[in-house]
Amino acid sequence: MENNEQEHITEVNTAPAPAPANSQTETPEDRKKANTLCVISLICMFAPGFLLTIFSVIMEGALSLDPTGIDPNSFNPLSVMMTIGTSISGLAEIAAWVLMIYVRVKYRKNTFGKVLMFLYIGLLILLIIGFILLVIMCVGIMKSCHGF
Amino acid sequence: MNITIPEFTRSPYSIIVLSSVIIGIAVAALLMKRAKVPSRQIMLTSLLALFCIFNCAIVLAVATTGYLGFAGLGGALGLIIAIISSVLIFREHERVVFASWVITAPLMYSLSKNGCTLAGCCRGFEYHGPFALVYGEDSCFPVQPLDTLLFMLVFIISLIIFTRAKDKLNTGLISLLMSGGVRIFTDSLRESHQDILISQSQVITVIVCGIGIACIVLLKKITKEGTDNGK
Repeated sequence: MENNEQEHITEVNTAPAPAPANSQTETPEDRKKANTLCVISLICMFAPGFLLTIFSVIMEGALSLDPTGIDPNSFNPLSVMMTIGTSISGLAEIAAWVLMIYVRVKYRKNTFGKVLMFLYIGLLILLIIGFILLVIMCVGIMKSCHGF
Repeated sequence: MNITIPEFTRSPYSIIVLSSVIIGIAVAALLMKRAKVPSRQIMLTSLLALFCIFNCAIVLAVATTGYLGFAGLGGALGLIIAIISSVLIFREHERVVFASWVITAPLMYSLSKNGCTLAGCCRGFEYHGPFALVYGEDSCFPVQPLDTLLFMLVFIISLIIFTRAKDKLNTGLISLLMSGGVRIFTDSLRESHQDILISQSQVITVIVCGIGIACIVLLKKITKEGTDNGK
């Protein structure tokens, strides 16, 4: 009886401990969790902007309104919706980045996370280049910080 | 003695803003490196900060004015979101990381105000005394150079305290309070502030500072004093 118990204790002690999430190897469970987070991150990055573009096109085309030309300081429902939509889109993009960084820290071996990081870095570089070109070329459209 | 600002056919504003953000990020990275924060954490935090600063600055400008632009206060908000996210993800060297970024915010703001001086935005009230900035026919109080000077002073004072203080998080708090005070004061000298008791940007300044202070209180609660979470 004692021998059996000792064997059992030895078995428990020698059993491989579950690998931590940020260890060298990636378990299928970790991969699944990391991939899910990456997909959520991708949705956060692109879905709000896509929906906002569709909304703008509908407003511009079907209802003959130009959402970009509406003064946000006037309290009409469309301008309020565009302001809220822009803010939500911006916050969702930040959430996408935070999720990507989380995956890179907690599941550093995950390939999807790595690809996502390089994709987002590429987008960031494009955003910065676009920002610079737009300000340099369109002085009248965007030349200042509007007092903020 | 007046200073005449020429009208640019190609605005240098974006280049100056981008350079100031990059210089600020480099200084924050150096401060973190000096505090022995792992390189991986520095790199990922810097990337997140760069994105959040640009994203929030552009989104705040679009949401409040309806025009594409770069709002410095949005940048500050983005920076706070980025560092608090990074600190909560990594859970290492929380206090020193948070303080490093908070004290470099005045540096970024100070340098970026040179862009405003050249672009002609954030102008001061009508003024014809010495050092007046002249844009075409308008003569204004040099509030943008004053912003640059005062925020640089805030950065230097914060940096001196940062290098000497044991608890770096207190330095962040001091820097945040000084920056908020200076920002509210200089805003009252602007052309846009005439005949207004409290401007929209002063309200946003108070909100951003409030968020920053709340984050510092939260960090003080979740980390042990002086140990930086024991790491």
